[in-house]
Amino acid sequence: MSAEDDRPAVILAVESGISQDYVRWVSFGAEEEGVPCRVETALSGAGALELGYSAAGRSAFGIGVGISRSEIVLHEAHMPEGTPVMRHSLEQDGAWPVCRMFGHNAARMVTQNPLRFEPLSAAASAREAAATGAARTVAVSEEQVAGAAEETLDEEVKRAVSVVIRRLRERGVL
Amino acid sequence: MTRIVAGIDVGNSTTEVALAEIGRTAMDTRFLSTSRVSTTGIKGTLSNLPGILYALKEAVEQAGVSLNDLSLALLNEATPVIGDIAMETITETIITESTMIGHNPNSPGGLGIGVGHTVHIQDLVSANRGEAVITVIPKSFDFEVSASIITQAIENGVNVQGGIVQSDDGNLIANRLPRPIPLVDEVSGIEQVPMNMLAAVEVADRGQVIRQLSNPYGLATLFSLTPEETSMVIPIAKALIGLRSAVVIRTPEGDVKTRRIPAGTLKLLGVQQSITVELDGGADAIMQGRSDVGELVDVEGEPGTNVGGMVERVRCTMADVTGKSTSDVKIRDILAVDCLVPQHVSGGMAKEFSMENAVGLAAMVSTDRLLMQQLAQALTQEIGVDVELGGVEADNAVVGTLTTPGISTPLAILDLGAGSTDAALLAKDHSVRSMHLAGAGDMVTMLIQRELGIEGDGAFDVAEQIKKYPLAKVESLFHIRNEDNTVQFFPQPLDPRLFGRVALVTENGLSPIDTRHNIDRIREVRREAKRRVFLRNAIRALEEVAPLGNLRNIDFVAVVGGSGMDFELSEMMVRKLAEFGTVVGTANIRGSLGPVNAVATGLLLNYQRRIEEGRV
Repeated sequence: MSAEDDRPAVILAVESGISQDYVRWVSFGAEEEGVPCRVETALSGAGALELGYSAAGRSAFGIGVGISRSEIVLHEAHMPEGTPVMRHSLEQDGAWPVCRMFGHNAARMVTQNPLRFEPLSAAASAREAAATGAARTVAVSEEQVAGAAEETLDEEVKRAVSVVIRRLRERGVL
Repeated sequence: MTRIVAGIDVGNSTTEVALAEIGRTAMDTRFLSTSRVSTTGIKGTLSNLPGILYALKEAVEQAGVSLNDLSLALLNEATPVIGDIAMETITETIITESTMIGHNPNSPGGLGIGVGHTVHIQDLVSANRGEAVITVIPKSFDFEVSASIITQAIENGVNVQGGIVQSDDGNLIANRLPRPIPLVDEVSGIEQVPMNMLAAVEVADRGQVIRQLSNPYGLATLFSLTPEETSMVIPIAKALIGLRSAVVIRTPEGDVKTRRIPAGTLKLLGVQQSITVELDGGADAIMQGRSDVGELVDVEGEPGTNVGGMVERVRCTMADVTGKSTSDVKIRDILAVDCLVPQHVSGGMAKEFSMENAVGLAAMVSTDRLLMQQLAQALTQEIGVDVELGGVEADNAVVGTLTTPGISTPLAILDLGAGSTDAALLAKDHSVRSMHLAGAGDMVTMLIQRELGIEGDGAFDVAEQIKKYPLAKVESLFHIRNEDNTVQFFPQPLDPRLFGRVALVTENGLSPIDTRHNIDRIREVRREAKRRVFLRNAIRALEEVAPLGNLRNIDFVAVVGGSGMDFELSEMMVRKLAEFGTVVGTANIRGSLGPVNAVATGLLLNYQRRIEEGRV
């Protein structure tokens, strides 16, 4: 185990082959709270509960998050294996607010702040807003691309906008 | 021959019953059972009947007898006073144009202070090179998108000084920028932020508070203000003190001011003289006036002012309860308390509040003895047993309290109830003097509620719970830290909903409080409220009944009533009264009941004495 692996962190144990989006959103949640987290990929077959429990055991903070194809689990090292702090199904659409909430909560277990129980402020409507808002943004951005070109402003703006658009597509809001 | 008699004491918040077999002599008398239930309705009205019946049934069941075995019920002639409370702020901060956002999100991003014109993130790319800007990011902009646009703008030479973010993304954006800029996040009303206005954003490091925006001269420096303008921004600076992040936006019409609401005057009408006090002088001036005026006949508030409204409200409530006309309701005592309450700033954007001065007022009015007689008659009809009014409450309370082991005369008792604080003194010659003062448990609850800014339905109940139970912080799923810093472990994991929260340690387990205040602040507010109401009133009441008005002439003080069970009050009381060399303690009625049931017990003992003296 390298020195880097010894640093205290929330450990995210993920079943191999699951969507990287889940992992990213969990780590974004932890990042916003300012708590380091580390991702470990496990072989498939283990359930989220088992992954979370063993991750909590390995984490210096005693906090682990297990993600399988179907479920996400937040676990604490002292809890009985069968009793995670919280668990949530990932089988419905738009699971990212749930993942981000788990990231927040894993970090809050470390910082001793009260946990969140609503996936980020009315997640559904926020997502909807994000979709329409993003569409508007892109429209504006494309105008700007044209404008920028006219003003012979460098290619970089175009590149930035295309990155933005690509990312939005990746996330499925376009 | 013995007969079974019930003593019934209807109080502001509880109804207590004692049941005894009373014989010819004290030797033949035997206490059978006691009960204590919540009072139904307002004390001294017919709505008390269900509570009384319930308490009686409980007592007879415990004693193994039935209601038919009762030969007499003695009803306490309840202290004919009721109290009411009101609170009014005397200052108010108003921002006529939206000019400030100051709040404490959990995790603002970045660090430092930035000044520039507000620019929507979608217009950032087209901002001029070298222009100092503060970017405004609504929640429709994802943090990665926002970060890449800001980075792009910075690379293009736009001087991005800071940002105002709607979602909880401050850190996520800040971490993706080439250099740290302050970002205030979780600004719900972001659409109210005006564009192209000069704004300043400040975020302090963890564990620090903002310095520049909470300092009037700091604001003057950032916005190049004239001395006149500087005096106008004082309310903004005041409202931002102690926060970790804030935004101040200067709009041309921007004008923030502290409006002093005309607080008005209070006229105290005494038997010999009348005194007029300005409410602006605060609680101390009012209480000085109260003690100068001597016995109080009534109180009037200046019409058209806050205090006028307050006094009228008390009068109307009391008129409703007693069925008298408002002109017949006379206020016989008041207790004023200064406090600082959080008030929403009108014109703020992120639900800011500012601490404003307020005065809380408790008032007490006399009620009719007639009401108690009606209640006695109704009870007779209901249970088919003779009901008598059993003498003055203070006499009964004193006799009941004398059953406490180790107690002697001259004895003063303090009954700290919900609506009023009552004191009675039993002198060596067995004469009893009593005194009723405005302000008790309900006032403490109101102070807690208002000072902590607890809002919504059931806010008063939450405050009531805070008054009653000690606090703890849930530090892990297996342990809590109590307010005295001791740690308590649990064999079974706690509910994750409790994690990280401030909770009350009740007999039914932990009960979380929905608040952003930390444990120290809540504890301080709670204890200060008790000090300002209970301790102040205890001294005031005891001085009234003490021989020569000197507390040193009282040897024993016993605390009775529900508030005697308060977990910290008796200790606070002991400390305070030790200054006067007085023994003060919580009564222990009949050596086993604690501070409750004094009056009900006293009713029966007084009845016994009347039998012995051949008066019954």
